[in-house]
Amino acid sequence: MEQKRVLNVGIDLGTSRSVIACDNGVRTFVSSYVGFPKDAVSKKMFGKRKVVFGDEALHNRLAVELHRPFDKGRLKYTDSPDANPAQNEREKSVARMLLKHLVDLATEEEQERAEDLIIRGVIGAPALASMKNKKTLLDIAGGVLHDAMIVSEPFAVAYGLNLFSSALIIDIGAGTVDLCRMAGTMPTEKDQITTMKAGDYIDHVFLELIQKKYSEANFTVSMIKRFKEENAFVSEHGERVSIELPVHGKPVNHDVTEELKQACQSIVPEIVAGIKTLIADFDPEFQRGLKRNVILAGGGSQIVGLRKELEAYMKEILGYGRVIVVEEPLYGGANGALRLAKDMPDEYWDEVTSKGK
Amino acid sequence: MKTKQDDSDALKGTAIRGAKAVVDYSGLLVWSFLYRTGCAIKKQSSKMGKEIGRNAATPFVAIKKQVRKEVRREGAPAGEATERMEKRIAIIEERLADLEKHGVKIVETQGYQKKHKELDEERRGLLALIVEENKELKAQLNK
Repeated sequence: MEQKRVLNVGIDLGTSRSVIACDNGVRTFVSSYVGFPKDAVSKKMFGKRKVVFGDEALHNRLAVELHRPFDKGRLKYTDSPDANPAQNEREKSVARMLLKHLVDLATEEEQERAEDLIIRGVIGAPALASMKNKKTLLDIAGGVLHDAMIVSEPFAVAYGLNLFSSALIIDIGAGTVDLCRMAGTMPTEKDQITTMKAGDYIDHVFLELIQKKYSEANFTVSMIKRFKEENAFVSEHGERVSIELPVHGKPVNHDVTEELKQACQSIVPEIVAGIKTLIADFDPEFQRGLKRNVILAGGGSQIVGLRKELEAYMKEILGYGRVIVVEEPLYGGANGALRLAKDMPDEYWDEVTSKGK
Repeated sequence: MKTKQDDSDALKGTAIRGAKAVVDYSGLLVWSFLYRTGCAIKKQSSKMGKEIGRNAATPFVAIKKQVRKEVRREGAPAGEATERMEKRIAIIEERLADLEKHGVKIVETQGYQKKHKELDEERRGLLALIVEENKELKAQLNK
């Protein structure tokens, strides 16, 4: 019998994308969609597979029963499991499948058999995720990872960047924007703010604005979501952007520059308010340090001009502000979680495992 | 023809040889005394050493004898001990078979190479806090 090997993984189970980073060098992501073939025809289409994941599920959404297990940064129905017990269980099982798929992607190149690996994972949860939510995440991980721990997502980002003090992390995801103040200790509830106006909210506003302006155009959220991800901006002097949408079946170009900018700006006021709150009630001696180290992470940090927009707001309301965008916005959380998993001493893992058994 | 001078020389030669012989003999005598004395001392001190060693070892020998006696008194014959072990193994095997029959699987306890991680106190403290939080979560999950 061979000796087992530990594989550390960092996981960010996001509303829009689920990301995994491992210490075997694998880093990948899938869109957080899970699809089950609807009938015999779709089953034949997918061959022997009973479930499809990510973009494949999304692209074939007409042929599958499509699930998006996470909403607003948490598993659906988690906060009221008793109201919808069957759906809650269903979403849990879907989320577990998604996590399993991620881990399979990470281990498919491994030389060892899966049984010879001890997979240890740290999973990022929204900053102010409820206890129920965190417990559910642990529960989901239980069947997939040998050992699992949950940490606040922005804290994972900070840990990955080695920023333990005088930094303010803003993680802009699809479901939530998490703001977390790092003050040299473990962030408490009062160091963190979660707002619900994030990527999905931009899609929603964008959709409404286009519908209002081009009522004859025919489109879906997923169409404009893709367009937004490629073109999102908030800067004053950008190029004109136009989207091709069908009108009575014929593709027509529509100028959506103002609508897209307005939609992207819709999340800014709450972020700025969060920054103001976290800086204003911080120790005055250290406020300058916080203002100098505002870190933007997550998919939303790729909005063109957002960094300058936030700096301008901070200058106006706080007198000064320097915003930095992390190098890999998509992997920031997973990278930090991986570093945590790797740094965690074996005896600490043993403690968590033995407590649970 | 022998002269007086010749007689005198012969006498002198005899006297010298006699003197040499006396010196040789007395040397041998002294050597003999010394050798015999040395042998006598060696013999005596060896006798004394043996006696002292024997006297010093007596308590240890007594302890050894006592312990051996006690061990012999407590220990069962080898065959009996083997039989007892076999019985115990049979019971354990029976229990395992029973557990497996009820669907309980034996988890292989083959470990992994634990690594020592160099961490500063600050980082170790942060990690310990995360561990505490997760222990709490897990405890609630198992309630």
